Amino acid sequence: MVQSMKINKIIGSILRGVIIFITLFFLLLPIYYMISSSFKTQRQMMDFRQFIKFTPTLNNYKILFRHHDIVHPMWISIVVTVMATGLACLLGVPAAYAISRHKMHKLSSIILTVRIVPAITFLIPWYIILSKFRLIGTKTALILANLLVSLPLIIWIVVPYFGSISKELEEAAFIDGCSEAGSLVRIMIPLSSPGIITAAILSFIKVWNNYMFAFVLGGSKARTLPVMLKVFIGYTGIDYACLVAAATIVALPVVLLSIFMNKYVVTGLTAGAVKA
Amino acid sequence: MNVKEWMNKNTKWIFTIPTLVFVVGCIGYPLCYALYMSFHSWRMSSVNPPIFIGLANYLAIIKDERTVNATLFTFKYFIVSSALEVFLGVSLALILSKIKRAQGVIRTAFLFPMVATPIAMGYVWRIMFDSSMGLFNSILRFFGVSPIDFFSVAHVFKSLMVMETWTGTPLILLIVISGIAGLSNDYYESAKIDGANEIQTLFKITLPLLTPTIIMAFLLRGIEILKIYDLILATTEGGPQRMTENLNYLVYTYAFEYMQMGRASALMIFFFLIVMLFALTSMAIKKRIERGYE
Repeated sequence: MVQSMKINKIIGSILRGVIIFITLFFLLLPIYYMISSSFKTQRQMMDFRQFIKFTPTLNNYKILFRHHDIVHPMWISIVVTVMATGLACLLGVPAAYAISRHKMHKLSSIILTVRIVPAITFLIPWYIILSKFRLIGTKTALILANLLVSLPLIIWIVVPYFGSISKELEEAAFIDGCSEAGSLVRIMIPLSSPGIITAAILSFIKVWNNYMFAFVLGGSKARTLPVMLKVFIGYTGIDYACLVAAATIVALPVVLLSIFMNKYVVTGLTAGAVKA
Repeated sequence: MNVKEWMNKNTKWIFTIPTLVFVVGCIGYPLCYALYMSFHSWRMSSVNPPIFIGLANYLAIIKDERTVNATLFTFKYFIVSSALEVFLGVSLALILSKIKRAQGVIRTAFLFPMVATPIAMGYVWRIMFDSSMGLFNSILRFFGVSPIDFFSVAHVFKSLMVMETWTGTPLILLIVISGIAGLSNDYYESAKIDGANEIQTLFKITLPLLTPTIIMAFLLRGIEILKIYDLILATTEGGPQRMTENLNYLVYTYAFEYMQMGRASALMIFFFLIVMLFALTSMAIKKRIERGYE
């Protein structure tokens, strides 16, 4: 009886190991394929025998930087991402503080419906309105559109952090003559900095990855990195080698961010569903 | 009353008004504008203003076979992928929660599909599935099997589901795994005393307690699934024969390819209602289940 239970346990843990191994393989396959292929020639990509063992070449990246304009989209991407995230923090953190401190539930639910509404619903009117103001193809248009997604995200993540800080701390400050704004800056923000960092990282990832806004509102002048990838899909064929190299450049910053900041990214991604 | 006092008294409004104005202005106004536009015909021309055509856009949508197909495809995609993702996410979370070694590494691996730029990963999948260049066909060639066109009518849905599960399962897994970590040990100890075996504890304790968490994960992922756009654009572009067009994709096509703003707006309102309906129903169900526990 005891022995059969032991055998069962061993079989169970082996089975678990196998399942986890297969899952990890499946999870990492596209990432590995993308990065490894960016150092391969097209012929090497086609040959399964060179899937793991191959002589790497930097040729794809050389072509990418010599013959394609990738530096400008990179610059646009960085500006839009940093500006949208910065503005979202600037507006979102005080709003989150007021919502959590004064229990403004109605307000929070209005702001959170924005997370549900499909982006295309405001993209069409925005496109019409912004083209009237001749703002299509500017960084401003992209920053504003992304702000609309980042702002609710920041509030969604930061509100529970403010809520979890004990009220007594603040009340003591109020007795000492501290204003609400003062308490926010001196007490609440320092204490909930992990939450704010989490929110900022998440907003960074979202804005960096956004394709639809950039494609519609950015036009040909404010092309971000994700939009730039389309260059390699031609009518006659796909420039596979350059496409994977460019895809690596686009995806690597956020992948690295998720490796080095993985605790923050996990809490941010599961925010709202899991108590912080 | 001086300025400083007034500022102190109204801090909460000073803090929230900018956000509120921005959010309501940028969502509310566009929504009303879209509603207005949906009763008009307009092709983004500055010479010809929008013409009022009443319900014609809505009638055209209902009659249009393309819309019907896109709606059906949206639902098919939603049902199959959310079933796959919830099943895989919950089972993997249950398995992973029993493992003590290398938790950090495994969890980081689950982050990649969630954070890696969707459009870039879409292109990578497209190359992997490609009929001549692709990884999967190079494996088939290696074993002497004739290549398969993974984006043909017969295979395209399966291929999409492979990519979709890769992208979507991690969110459900991460949410459920933190749900499991939050379960109180008391339940399990009393179950052990009562002599329940592992399968009984799983179905009688763990899963019922996790239901609100699973629904929340399903809600968050479900909204994203209904709105899938980047993946389809990067891989199938709606093809073959427009069979992989979902509503989001179709609205986009009408608006920014055909420039039919009126029709696109009408379709968008329809799409918006579907998403809202899903979100509100699942939130209501979650609330009801949670009340059952109290």
